Amino acid sequence: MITDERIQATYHQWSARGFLVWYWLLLIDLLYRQFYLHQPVREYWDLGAIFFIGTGFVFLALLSKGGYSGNLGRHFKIITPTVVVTILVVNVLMGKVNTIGDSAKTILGAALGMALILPVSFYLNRRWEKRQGLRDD
Amino acid sequence: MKLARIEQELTQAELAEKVDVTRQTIGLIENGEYNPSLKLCIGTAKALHKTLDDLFWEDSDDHR
Repeated sequence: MITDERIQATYHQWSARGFLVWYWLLLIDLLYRQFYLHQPVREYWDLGAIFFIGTGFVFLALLSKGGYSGNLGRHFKIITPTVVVTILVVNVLMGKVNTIGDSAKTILGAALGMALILPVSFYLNRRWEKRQGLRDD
Repeated sequence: MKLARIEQELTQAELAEKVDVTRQTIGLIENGEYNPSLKLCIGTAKALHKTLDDLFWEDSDDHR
């Protein structure tokens, strides 16, 4: 086991940078396949699964280890509108949204999805803060 | 820190073993190329029988 904090810090720093490279390359690849090559999702669902499992794991791990402690609300204030607008734009580009009614349904669906993620996120963050003695309630 | 280590007649490798890091890390700290954590600073100070001030505090004159 590596006990040297300098090696650990370097390892973590470059692993995090490596994750970012992996994240953006995979995202670009998914967008390229969807919007440039017009491949059906069934041809690259495995890549999508790897992307979402990987990012989901990191997101949940950060939440449950205090990675967002202190500014979770601020993160969601930025993330929520970004996610809703992105989902709407993607659906418009894919030709799945053609009317105002479709747009409303898409926005509602995205908002509902975020409404499911929010309580889980706040719960995990709250649990970590309680364990660290950062909350009295 | 280097002077304190030499006073104690310790090599970089011996000090590194006492504080559970590699010799390279001690070398980098002595050269001012790595900022150790407070935990490592305290461990080093104890290993060298010095205070944190003795090892890491720089008087304003030192910057001139």
